[in-house]
Amino acid sequence: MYLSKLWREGRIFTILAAVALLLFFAGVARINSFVNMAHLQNPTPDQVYGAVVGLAMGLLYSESILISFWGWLSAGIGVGKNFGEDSGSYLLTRPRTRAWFLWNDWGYTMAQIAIIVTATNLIFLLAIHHIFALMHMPAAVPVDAGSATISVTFLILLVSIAVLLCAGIIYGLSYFSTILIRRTSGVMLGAGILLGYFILGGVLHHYAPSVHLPGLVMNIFAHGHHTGPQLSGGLAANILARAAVVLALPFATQLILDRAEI
Amino acid sequence: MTDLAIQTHALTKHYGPLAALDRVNMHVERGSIYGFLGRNGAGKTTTLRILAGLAPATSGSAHVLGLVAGRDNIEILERTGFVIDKMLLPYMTGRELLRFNRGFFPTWSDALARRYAETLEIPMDRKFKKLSHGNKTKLCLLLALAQSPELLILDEPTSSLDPLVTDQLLRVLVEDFANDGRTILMSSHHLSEVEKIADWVGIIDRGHLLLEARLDDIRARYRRIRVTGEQLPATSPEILTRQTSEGVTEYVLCAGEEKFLADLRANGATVLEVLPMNLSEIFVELVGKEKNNVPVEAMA
Repeated sequence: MYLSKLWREGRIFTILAAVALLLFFAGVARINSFVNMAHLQNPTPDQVYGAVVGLAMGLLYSESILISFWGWLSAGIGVGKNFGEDSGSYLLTRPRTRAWFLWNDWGYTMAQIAIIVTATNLIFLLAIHHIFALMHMPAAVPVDAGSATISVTFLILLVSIAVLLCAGIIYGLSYFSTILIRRTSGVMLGAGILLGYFILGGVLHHYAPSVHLPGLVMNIFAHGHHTGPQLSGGLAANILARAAVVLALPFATQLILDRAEI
Repeated sequence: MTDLAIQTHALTKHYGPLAALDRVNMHVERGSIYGFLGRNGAGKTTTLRILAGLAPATSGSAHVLGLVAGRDNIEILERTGFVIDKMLLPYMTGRELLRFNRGFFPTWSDALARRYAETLEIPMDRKFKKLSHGNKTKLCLLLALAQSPELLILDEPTSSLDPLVTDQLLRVLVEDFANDGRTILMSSHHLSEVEKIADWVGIIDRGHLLLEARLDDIRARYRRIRVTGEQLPATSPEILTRQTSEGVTEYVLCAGEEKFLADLRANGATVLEVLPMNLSEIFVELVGKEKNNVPVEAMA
């Protein structure tokens, strides 16, 4: 019923995004892996690990940008769009709470993001596993100067979580903005807030180098280590904090929507 | 169970310093067709939005079918058909809108939807945004009717419709809906239409409910009286307005015609005319005292 409306409104974006991502990442995963492996004649395990971690990070950032862009576009679909079309009073005189509409919007888009990220990353994961299998190596990457290993599956899981959280924040913020200004173009306000955040980060970096605003994409590995990849400190806390922000945004939107006069 | 489908008590709505509604006490009997009249900006739509739970009241209370508006919204919306902005989902066809609506209402009737689509001659395969204004309104009404509500609340349902479509809609409302003993609250400033179908009337202006009564009672009570004479009364509770021109004084009375006439005659006045008044005339006298912004139709 309501989900069919959401599908109807956003199906073009969804299909295009899914097809583009599947093709793009499947291609990248296979081509990059084979090119890297082929380029390195008889690669050492360290070279293979470096290539895999590099690919995972490439996946993280490129996927975050693409999925977040799609999440940003998808925020224009939902109750905010109905306000902009003057059909808000029609929609909100259907016998459901306003929160019901909001959480359907949010749940629908987040579920789509999760499905697309999972599907894409599964393909990527299978490709990496294939490489390791060809080289008769266990599908795991040493981290923290070789003191520990993480499986490739866990690495891709971390990438998937990071992409989901980044897209969730951008989608939630943009959706919040569409409800705040009651039209689809609220997504531009969301983009403006993000731009402001980046500018603030730049200003702080210039005037107070010791202060770092958290990036939108979660760092899985710490920077600046020459002894191989090192997992970022406080990764679990970082994930939890970002998940809290992802969830806080629809609750904040609900506060606005519940008090809105239509 | 209360006999009132809608009841408001001291319903007040402020937008900043502006009082859109000021202590409105409204009573809509079950089974009645209630014409809610007022100029643009009088407070009609604000009242209906509060009843629909789309806007909260500043103070006071509103009950719909015995339920509290703003608190029991889901139950109210399940049992009441609202047509407020006459805007549906623009990219959906009539058929798609039927499917979309069906899942929301436990009392939804596909048979009714089909019947009204035929009766009202709505092109159901055309997207809502491509429909004419009249067909848009008809489709909004169809959706409200097909949910088989106990109460219909319509905001200006016939505004800017041609007379043929208006007649078609009113006929459906009266013959199919109200004749089943169900209730209609219909806001309008098209007085002749309301006069055709309503049995109760409420007149609101600047947020104040000026009058609420059965239409027959209003017609029976209000009189225009032209008299000449000396020492004519200037004010009394039954005098709504008094104007003197070229030696003739015209009163509009809201009650007590016989006693008033007897008193005039006892004071030596000559009664020239006693005229009944239609709803438009009464509306103009009540609302249009300054004769500003009164709808053309009301002046006719």
